[in-house]
Formats: sequence, C-alpha cells, structure tokens
Amino acid sequence: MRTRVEMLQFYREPLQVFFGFAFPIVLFAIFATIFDQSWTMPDGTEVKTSTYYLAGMIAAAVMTSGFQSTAEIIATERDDRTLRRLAVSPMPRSAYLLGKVVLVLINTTLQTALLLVVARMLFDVPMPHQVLTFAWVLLLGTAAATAAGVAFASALPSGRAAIAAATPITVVLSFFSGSYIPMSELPTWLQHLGYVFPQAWIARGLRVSLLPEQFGQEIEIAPFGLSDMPVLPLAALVLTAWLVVMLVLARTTFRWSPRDAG
Amino acid sequence: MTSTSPQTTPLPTEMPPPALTVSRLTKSYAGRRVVDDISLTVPRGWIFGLLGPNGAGKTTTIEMCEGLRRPDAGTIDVLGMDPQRLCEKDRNRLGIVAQSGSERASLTVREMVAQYAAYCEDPWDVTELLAATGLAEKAASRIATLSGGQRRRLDVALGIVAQPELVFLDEPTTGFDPAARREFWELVRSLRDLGTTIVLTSHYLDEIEYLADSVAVIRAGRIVAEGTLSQIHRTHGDSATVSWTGPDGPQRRTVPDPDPLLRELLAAHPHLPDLEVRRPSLEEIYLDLVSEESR
Repeated sequence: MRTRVEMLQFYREPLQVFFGFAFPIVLFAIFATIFDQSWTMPDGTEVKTSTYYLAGMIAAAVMTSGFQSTAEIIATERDDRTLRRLAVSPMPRSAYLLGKVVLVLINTTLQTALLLVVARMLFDVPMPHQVLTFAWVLLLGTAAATAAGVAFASALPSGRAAIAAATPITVVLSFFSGSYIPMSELPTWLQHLGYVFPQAWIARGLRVSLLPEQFGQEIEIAPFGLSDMPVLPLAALVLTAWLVVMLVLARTTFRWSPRDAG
Repeated sequence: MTSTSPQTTPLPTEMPPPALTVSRLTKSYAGRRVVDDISLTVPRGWIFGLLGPNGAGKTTTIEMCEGLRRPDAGTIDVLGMDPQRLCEKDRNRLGIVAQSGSERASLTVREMVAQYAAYCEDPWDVTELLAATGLAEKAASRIATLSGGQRRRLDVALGIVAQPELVFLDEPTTGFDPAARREFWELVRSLRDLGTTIVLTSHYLDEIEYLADSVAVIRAGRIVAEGTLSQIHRTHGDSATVSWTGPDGPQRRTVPDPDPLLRELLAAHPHLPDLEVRRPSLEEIYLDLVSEESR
C-alpha cells in the first residue's frame, strides 16, 4: 500500500518526474560532449571519457534518488505531519520505509536504464562487460545511499535545514567522486578523501564493470594507499560499512513528529 | 433454563471500565509545568470535553494519552492499555484527530482514505465513511483543492477509519464557519450514537455545551472545574449580584449567598420596585475560571 502511495505521489508530479529523470541525462550528454577525449592504454586501446562519465553519472543519479530525494521527502513528510498521522495509525512502521526503498529502487533502475540507452545510442559507449559487478554495485550503492538519506532526514533539527543541506552535499560529492570531473584530474589527497564517501565507490565499481582492466591499473589510484587490496572487495566493504552505520543511525534517530511540535 | 447452565454472566449493575483514566499527570517543558497534576476519568460511550484557553495544556494532555509524548509523572490507562506501549494492532482501537495535517496533496480524497483503511483490521467502508463525513462529492478531488472545513473533515475521516472505540478530537472546528460547525457537531454526535467514546478539546464554550456529556475546565495545566456543565454552573455560580434603589440611590452588591441580604433588605424597605438578583451566566463562570486575575 505504501509503495502504491509513494508511486502515486511521485509520478503525479510530472515536472518533478521530468526534471528528476532528465537532469542526469542532460549532464551526461553535456560532459560527454564537452570533454570528448580519451585515455590511451599501454596496449593501444582507447578509453573514451564518455564511458567514464556514464559510470560517474549513474553514481550521481543513485545519490540523488537514494540520498537526496529520500532525505528531502522524509523531512517534508515529518514537517507536514504525514509521519505523525501514520505513526498513530495501525500501519506497520516498517511499511513506510519499505515504500521509500521500493520507490528508490524503481527510480534508480529506470534512470540507469535510460542513461545506458542514451550512452549507447548517442555516444556509442560500450555496455558493461561485467554485468554481475554492475548489478551488485548498483544495488549495494543504492541501499547505502538510501540508508544515508533516511539517517540524514533526522540528523538536522529542522526539516528545512535537512532539505537545504542535502542538495549541496550531493553536488560537492559529485565533484570529487568522479561524476563531474575524472578523479585522475584531482590531487591525490582529494581522491583519497572522495573514497571516504559512497558515491566514489559506486562510480569506481561501475567503472570496473564498464572499462578495460588496464584502466584501473594505469589511471586509477589505490584508494587510501591500499595497493594490495583488490578494488571490488574494498568497494563492497566500504559500501556495506556505510549501509550498516547509516541503518543503525537511522534506526536510533528516526522521529515521527516535528521536534518542536506544540 | 436448566440448573447446569454456567453462571458467568456479569451482574447488570456492574459498570464497564472507563475508556480513559488519567491520574496525577505532569509534564514540563524547559522547566515550565504545562500539565500540572491532572486526573480525569472518561466513561465509555461519553463525549468528554476538555475546555480551556489556548496554551492551557489541552493538546499536551491529549498527546500523552495518545502515546505521542511521555509524561514526567502520573499514569494513563486508555482502553486498558498503556499508551507508551501501544503496538500497531492496538492502534485500531484508538482514533486520533490532531490539529490539522497538511500532507503533500497529490492524492485524491478517496485514495488517501483508502490508504489508511488498508492499514486497519476492520475499517469503515470507504464510500460510507466519505458519505458520513460529508466528503462524498469530493471523493475524486485532490487533497490540495479542499477548503479548510473539508480538509478538517478529511482529518476526521482518517482519524476514525479504523472504527475505533475511543476518538481524540483536538480542536476539531477551529476555523469553521457556523454552518460547517453545526454539521460537524452532528457528525460527532452520530459517532457517539454508534457507541464511540469521544474526548474533545476546545476553547469554544458553545461547542462543549452542545456536545459534551461531561467537562473538565483546564487552565495553566490544572483542572479548575469538572463535572457536567450544569454541575459546574451550580458549584461555581453560587454568588449573586443584588441591585436595588435605596434612599441613597442605586445600590449593587455581590455576595456568595444572597438570602440574608435579601431578608435584611425586604425587612428594612417594604417597597423595592427594582430589586434584582442576578446569577452569573455559564459564560461568565467560564471566563472567571480561566482568567489570570481570578487565581
């Protein structure tokens, strides 16, 4: 029931749907057009920046639907007392969060599919050669981002503050997570900092599934200097850590009423 | 009748337990006592009014009964349950109409009510409920297009969709025009006629006078009067203002009991054409009870 309500509420705002879906695609098209370059691998293979940006933009889209939208919607629903009404109804409390998770999963899947289609058709980007890696990185990344969104909705004292803070966070993260600028263009310390957050790991994991193996060895850094550690298990580790910590935070801080309610 | 039939039927004189019992309830915010030693009993099937000015502690009291706030001290029994330990299933038995919600409004009225009905064990039929709350014509309208009164009726529909045994109505008619208030009052009465117990807060005396079987008047977190309105009228309306015209011109005196003064006056003056004894109206008693200066 909550899922149906979430879908109705989301898809009945045509402009919200349009801009939400168009934004990552337009950004991808812009970056792929402007920075139309390539890296040359030792064996002569060319890696185009458009493929790099596809991974980065999917990661940014995951953060937007999972983290930013979830935080904004929950904060809004707390302030307008939707949550208070649900809390005193016989609705199982878990149904509310389940509804949010399903909405995010559907939105992320649709956005990823659209990005893949546009990248393939307009920019001739190769499709992921490691489909399984692509899928689990996307799924685990979405889970971590959504958990962070739920936790963030309760992190700040007012809903308005949470809404105001969520957008800058996603934009800033996009700059040093390989979504707007290839990470190899950044100073090394900033790359390490980027790898603290989930977005860089989602993008990195997706790059592993999209780019040739040589790219990871030649161009990418070993995050945190852990050069002995294979990159995919490390991605799984960091994303799982984010998921667990954020779930615990969300569970302990979630509020059904506005803090200052009369 | 046979002698072997089990004798388990309770005696008809036995009263059902009250719907709500509140005992010595206290709550402070930032050192200020908002609710100060309040005790209440609401019998099943009654409309109980909690009357008082804004900021008297009505909403805080109600929210503690609903389990939304934790009391500093005191105990609450709602339908035999502790409001701090209500599980989702228990919520079927309680209806809560808080001060107005303002949900994102892309759902229609029917979808919104159907959503909440889906969470209940034995909900109202959605169509019937919309008719009972006067929302039938608005069923297909988006919530954003509702007027204030319609919005409030939707709040009530969502609050009672579970067919609860006990309903809390917190200032339900604030912002209504007089006709809408009348309609709303009839809705509340019809709920009571279905056997629902209702706890109603209001700062309107006429609303409480029209609806409530019993009242507690609350001021600055304390109960200053309780009982039926006629009891309150009697216990707090004993004083009387006696006025007459004597040899020295018009006189006026307010006394707790007018009898001795009247005897004295009539003995001294055989003819007092404009002698008048006035008892305070219910409204005057209420205003006196809740005014700051009177305490």
